[in-house]
Amino acid sequence: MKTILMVDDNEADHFLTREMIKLEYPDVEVLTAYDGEQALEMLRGEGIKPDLILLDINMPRMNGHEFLAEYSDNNTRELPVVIMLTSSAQERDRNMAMQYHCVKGYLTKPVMSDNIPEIEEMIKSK
Amino acid sequence: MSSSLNNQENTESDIKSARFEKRLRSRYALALGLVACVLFMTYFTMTIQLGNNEADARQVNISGMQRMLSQRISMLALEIANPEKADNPIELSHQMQDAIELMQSNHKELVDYHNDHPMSSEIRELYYGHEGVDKLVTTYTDMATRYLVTFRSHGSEAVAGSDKLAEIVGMANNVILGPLNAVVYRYQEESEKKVERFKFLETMFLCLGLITLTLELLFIFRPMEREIVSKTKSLEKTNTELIEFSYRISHDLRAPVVSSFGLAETAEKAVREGDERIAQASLGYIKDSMVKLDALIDDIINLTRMKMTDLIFEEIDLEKTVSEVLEKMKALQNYDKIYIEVDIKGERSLTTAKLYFQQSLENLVSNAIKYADIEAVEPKLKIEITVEAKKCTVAVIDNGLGIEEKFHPKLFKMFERFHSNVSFGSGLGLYLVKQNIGILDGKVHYTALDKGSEFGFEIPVKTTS
Repeated sequence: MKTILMVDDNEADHFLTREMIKLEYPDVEVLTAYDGEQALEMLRGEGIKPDLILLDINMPRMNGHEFLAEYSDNNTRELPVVIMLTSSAQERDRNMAMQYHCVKGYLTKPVMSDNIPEIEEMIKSK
Repeated sequence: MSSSLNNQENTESDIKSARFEKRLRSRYALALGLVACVLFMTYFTMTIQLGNNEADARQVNISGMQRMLSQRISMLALEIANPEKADNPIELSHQMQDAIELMQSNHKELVDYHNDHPMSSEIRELYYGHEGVDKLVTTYTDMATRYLVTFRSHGSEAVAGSDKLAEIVGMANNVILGPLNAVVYRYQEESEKKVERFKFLETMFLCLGLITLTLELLFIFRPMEREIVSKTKSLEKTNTELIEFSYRISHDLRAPVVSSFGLAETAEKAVREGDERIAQASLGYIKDSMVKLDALIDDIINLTRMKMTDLIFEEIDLEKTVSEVLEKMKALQNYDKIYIEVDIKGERSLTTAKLYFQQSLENLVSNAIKYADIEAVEPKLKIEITVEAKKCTVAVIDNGLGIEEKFHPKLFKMFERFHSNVSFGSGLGLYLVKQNIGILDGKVHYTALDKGSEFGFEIPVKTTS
């Protein structure tokens, strides 16, 4: 079973993304973290190896950019692919995120059905 | 009872800008005034000194001319007495007359000058002492005049080999030349001393100018530079904050709206497919998103109002203010689960800007409630207000979730949030408190407790007028 880790502080977005993915890919498991710190803890723990990370930018404690900096520093092998999923359409955010090798896409919220093929492609390319 | 400490027409920042401008102008005026004073002093002193030196140079010049004239008169007297050598004795007598008159007028100018200006004792002695130049020149010119009278009456033969001629030649060579020489040398010597003094004065004024500039640099321009640098830094900081603010606001305002779009689509689809559970859940999340949006807009309005509203000071009843704050908190989810204690020490009233004071207290209390540890045995919140003669201290103490140490430096910054999945905050609350308290000339504080936090502020107490 493929696994997606969604890192976002917004409960509504967790629900929305989970429902969209469940509808298109019922066999994909969606895990959730509420900020970068929690996501790092999960990734460092045993047993959780997501195929894809959907990452928001503005979050409490550790935002998406800080997570990417930390994540890239400490994980040199077998990095899961990251797709940014944020409501920020700012060029500054896009450029900052896309400079990381592990970041393969930048989607703006909300996740609509037509975004799903991109996510599928990412999971398959893994 | 209320009093307004602001000018109705000017905002606080306008008044501060006007004061800053006035300070800059007066400092510039002082600096330029000092330089102008030094320049005028230098100009007037130098003009007077140059005038003196010019007069001295003329004295030296005239004295030198007197010496020359004494010898010329003697030489012409000799030539007039010797018709074999002189082609035109009458013409020579006219030249001698001119020389005598010039010597007399020069002498008068020198004596007049001495009467109008102070002179050294040496010059006085040389001129007016025993056998002084004054007496010698008068005797000599009288003698030469008498000689000319004799010549004009009786011709060259009458003066040739005469005692008068011997007296003139003798006086010119042996009596008058020495004192006239001494006067010239003395004048030259005194003039050189004055030139030395002039150079000294020049150096003194140069030093005075440099000292004035150094003092201006230290006490006028450096403080001014420091103030301008500080103002510029503050403006740059405000500008950076504004850029960050507009960037974050554009994102944070958009986030609940775009979520709601997606949720609405999901709800619509669920209704079409008859999935009531999903439809209900979607609608619930849409409502949550709108609540967040509303809270964010409230914070933005508060922040904007704070920037645009004048400071109105009034006397407030502290118990009443706290009650009003707590009344507003009743809508919060955890309010009923928290034991709240209020302790007001000292005066029961305070003169302050009510809007700023109450808004700051509201933010601290709402944070304590939103981030209370509901799982704790007894969630508590204490509001402690102490009014002393010169300051009022407010502390909001809780035994809630607290804040990790690594986030302490970011506590009062814009859009910073320190808890995930507990309660939604815009990240503007503590920033707003710091801004409000800063405007009241106070300061905010935070203390991490073993369990929970203490947030608070201290403001100076104003007297009602």
